[in-house]
Amino acid sequence: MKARTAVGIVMMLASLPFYAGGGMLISATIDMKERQARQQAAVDEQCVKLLNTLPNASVANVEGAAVVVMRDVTDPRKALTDATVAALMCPGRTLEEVCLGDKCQGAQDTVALRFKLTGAN
Amino acid sequence: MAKDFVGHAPMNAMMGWYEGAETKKDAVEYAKGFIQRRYTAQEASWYAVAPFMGGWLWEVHEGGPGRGYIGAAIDALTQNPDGKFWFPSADRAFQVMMRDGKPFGILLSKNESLPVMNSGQPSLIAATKMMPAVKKGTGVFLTGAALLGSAATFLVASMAFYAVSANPGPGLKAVDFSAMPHAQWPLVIDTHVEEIVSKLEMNGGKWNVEKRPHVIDGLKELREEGQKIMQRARDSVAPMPVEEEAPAAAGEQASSDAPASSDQPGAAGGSVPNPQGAAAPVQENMSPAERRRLAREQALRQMQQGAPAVAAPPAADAPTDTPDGGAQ
Repeated sequence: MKARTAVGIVMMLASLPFYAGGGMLISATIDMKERQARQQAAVDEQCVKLLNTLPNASVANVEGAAVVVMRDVTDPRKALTDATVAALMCPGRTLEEVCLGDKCQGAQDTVALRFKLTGAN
Repeated sequence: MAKDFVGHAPMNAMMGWYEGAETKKDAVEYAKGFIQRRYTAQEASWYAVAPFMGGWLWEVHEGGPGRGYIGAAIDALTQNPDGKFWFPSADRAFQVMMRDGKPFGILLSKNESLPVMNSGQPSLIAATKMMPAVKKGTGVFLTGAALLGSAATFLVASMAFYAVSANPGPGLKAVDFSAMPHAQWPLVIDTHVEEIVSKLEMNGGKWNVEKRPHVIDGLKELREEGQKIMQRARDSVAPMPVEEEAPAAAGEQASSDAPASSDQPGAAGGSVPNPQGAAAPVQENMSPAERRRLAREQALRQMQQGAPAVAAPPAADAPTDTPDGGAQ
């Protein structure tokens, strides 16, 4: 067998593990992304459920963001803690806006807590 | 020109016509067989085949650059079937012509070649690409190199895809608790009674507090009244005269007397306010600070009862100081 032929065959054989490794990486990456998407969806579903359990809370989906309004707040300090807990309950989302007071949007002259959690896909 | 040509010319060149060949494969095998039988340097030999007049024209070279005359010969014989054409084969001439209506090639002897080569008729041009008689493995090598290169590129690209796209999980972001809502309470905890927090707001990561005045009816008057009361209380308490410390012996004597007097009703501690608004007894063993406190209590009591403020507390050595705590 000619040297070139032998080297050529060796290179062909050597390319096989490269193709296999690359294929496995791509497959693993796609699998991981799909699994992450499923997990993220589950976490977000749980997040919205938990948001609805907040006292006097109404949860609205505005362009993918969860807007929570808690009206008739009697304990402002607890309301702030509720907002923190809500943000921690939704690790896939980002706490983008918070407003506590009677002049917040949608407060209607009662003390309300309004916060917006964005980032869910 | 001739020198150039000799330098690149094959050691041997032959051309023939294989009338019985039906397929190209037959013609190729025939040409390869010719090389194996006749040529020594088989690995440096070349062949080329081309269909012509119902059969296959073949050409073989021993050495040389692998450029054949077969294409030029076909053109020449097609255009001029009566002509005789030649090309060099080492130091001799190979002549191509049509004989009896069929292509025919003959390697001339040295003596016969010279007149042909010197006749002024140009040689056929070697322009047809020929195939090597023995494969050198170049094709396999190039294929292997291409596969390996593409495989390495594919692997690197897949690693880049993994690095960019794959994350270990639905990332738990680092939580800055100092920026969370519950940690913003100190922003409003010092809000004055005359202010109302309209909103405590976070937008774009920044926290802001918006306040407005809180008007309480009568608060101003209440404050003024309070200030007046306080002023009256201050005015009613005259400064105590600075008295010298009693000698230690006298103090000890007074202390030794004290338990006896404490048996009397209403005298416990000597500083219990009298429920009737009377002044508490000032005892000899009282410190100046206690005397002042006693005087303040007496003044306040009298003020609450509408009595005129006491200008000055009784002197420490006044005869009214009795151990039974009777009001004076």
